[in-house]
Amino acid sequence: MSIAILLAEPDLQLAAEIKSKLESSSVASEVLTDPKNWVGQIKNKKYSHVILNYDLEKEVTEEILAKFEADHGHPKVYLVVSEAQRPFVNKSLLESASVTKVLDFPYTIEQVLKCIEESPALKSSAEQKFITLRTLSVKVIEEIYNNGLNEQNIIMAQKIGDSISTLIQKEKDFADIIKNMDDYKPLIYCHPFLVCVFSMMICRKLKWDSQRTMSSLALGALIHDIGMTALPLELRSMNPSEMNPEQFKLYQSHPIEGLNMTNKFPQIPSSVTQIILQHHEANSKGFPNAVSNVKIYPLAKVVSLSDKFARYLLDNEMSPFAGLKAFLGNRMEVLQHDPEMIKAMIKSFIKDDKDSKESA
Amino acid sequence: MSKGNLLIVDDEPMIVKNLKITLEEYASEIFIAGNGLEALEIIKNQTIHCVICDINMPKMDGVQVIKALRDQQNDVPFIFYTGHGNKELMLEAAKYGAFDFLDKPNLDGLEEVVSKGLEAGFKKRDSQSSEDFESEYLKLLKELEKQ
Repeated sequence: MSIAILLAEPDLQLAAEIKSKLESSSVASEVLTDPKNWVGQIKNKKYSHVILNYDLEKEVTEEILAKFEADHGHPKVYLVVSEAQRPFVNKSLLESASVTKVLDFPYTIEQVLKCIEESPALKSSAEQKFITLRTLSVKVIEEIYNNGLNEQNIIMAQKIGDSISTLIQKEKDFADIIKNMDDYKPLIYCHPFLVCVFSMMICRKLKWDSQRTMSSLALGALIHDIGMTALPLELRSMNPSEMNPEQFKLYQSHPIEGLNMTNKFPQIPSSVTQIILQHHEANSKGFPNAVSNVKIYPLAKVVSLSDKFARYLLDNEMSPFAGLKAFLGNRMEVLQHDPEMIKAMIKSFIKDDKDSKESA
Repeated sequence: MSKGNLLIVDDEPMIVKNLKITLEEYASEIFIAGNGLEALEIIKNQTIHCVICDINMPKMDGVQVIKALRDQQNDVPFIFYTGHGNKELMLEAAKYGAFDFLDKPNLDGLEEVVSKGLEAGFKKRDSQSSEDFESEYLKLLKELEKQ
C-alpha cells in the first residue's frame, strides 16, 4: 500500500489548500467535506494516514474512529481538536481506535506533512494483524473491566488469545514486529495485551508451545489483573510504589480477588486460575502467599516476568526493544526471576537465523 | 540420553492403562501407584523425575501426597489432573507447588506437559551453576546489543 491520505475536513478552503500541497508533494489524498455521506465515499478503500477534524459532527467522528482500525488498512489516525473541544473528546475511544496523535486546531499543512514524514514505513500484514489484535484485546479487556467477567467475554478473550498465539507461532520474524512498534504507546488497557505477547514469546522460546499451554497462558495473561476490579477505583490506576501501607495491603489482595472471580466459571481451567493467583509470587518475597520458588506454577512465573517488564515500559514510557535493555540493566530485578525464563525472554528479542530457517 | 522416570498415581485402572500407553515413549520407565500411600512408597525406593497424580483418591488424596513429599523436602514436579468441580482441592494442592494442571476429560497437551515435567525433574538434580548462567546471560546481552 502506498501513502494514501484521507482528510476529513469540513472547511472547504483549508481542505483544498492541503490537498493541493499534498499533490504537489506527489502524495495521493482524498478529501471528505460532507460528513453525512462519508461511509459511501470511503467504502472498501485503504488509507495510510487519516487526518480527522473533530469539528465534523461528533457522532460521525466517533463512528469513523471506531471503524477505521478494522476496515481501512490500519492507518495512522491524527485527530484535530480545538482547545474548546478538548475536554469533550472521548478518551477511551481515542485509546481503542489507536489515535496516533492529537493535533491542535487550527493546524497547518506543515504539520500534516510532518505527520507523514514521521511515519513513512508502511506496515506488513503481520504488523497489521498485530495492531488489530492489540485493538481487539484493549476492547475486550475494557469490557471485562467495566462489566465484569461473563461467558461471552471469556470466549472473546480466549479467541483473541488464540489468535495472538497463532501470529507469534507463525511469524518467523516476530521480534521485528515488536522492534518496529515505533508508535508504541503504553496504555492502561494495553498492559494485559503486552503481558500476553511477552509471555507467549517467552514460552515459544522455552518450547512450551502446545496449543493447550498457549491457550491457558493467553487467557491467564489477558485477565491476570482481573482482581483489581474488586478494589476501590482510585487504587486501580495508582502505581504500587506510591500507595500508603493500607492501600498496598488492599492492592495485595487482588490475586485472591481474581481467583474468587474466575472460580465461578467452570470453563476457566485451573492453569489460568493459578496464573491469576500467583502472578505476584517471587520466591518467598511475593504475595499473596509468599510461596517459595518451587511452589510457583511455571506459567505464573512467565506471566510474572512479563508483567514486571510491561509495567516497566509503562512507567518509563519506553518501547519494548529499548525497554528490554534498560530492564535487564537492573540486576536485582533480573535475579528475582527464573534464569531460564530471563534467557528465553532475551532470545525472543534476538532475531534468530536458525528460527527463520526452521520456519521458512 | 535418559528421559526420566514417571510415576502415575490413580485409582482407576483404565485411566492408568491409557496414560501408560500414551506416555510410554516420553519416559524411561513408568511406575504405577493405585493410591497415595503406594506412591510415597515408590518415591522412597525409586528415582522419580515427575509425578502425574489424580486429585481424588481413596486412602490418601493428591493433596496429602504432595504435602507429605514437600515435608520431606522432595521437590519433584507434580502434574495434577481432575474433573470439573474439584477446583478447591486443586487450589489446595497448588499451595504445595504444582508443575501443571490438566482438567479431565480434556487431556490435550498431556505429552508436552509430562515431557516438560520430566525435563524439569532432571534439571532440579543437575541445575546450572550461577557461573554458567552469568556467562550465557552476558553473551545474550551482547547479542541483544547488536540488534
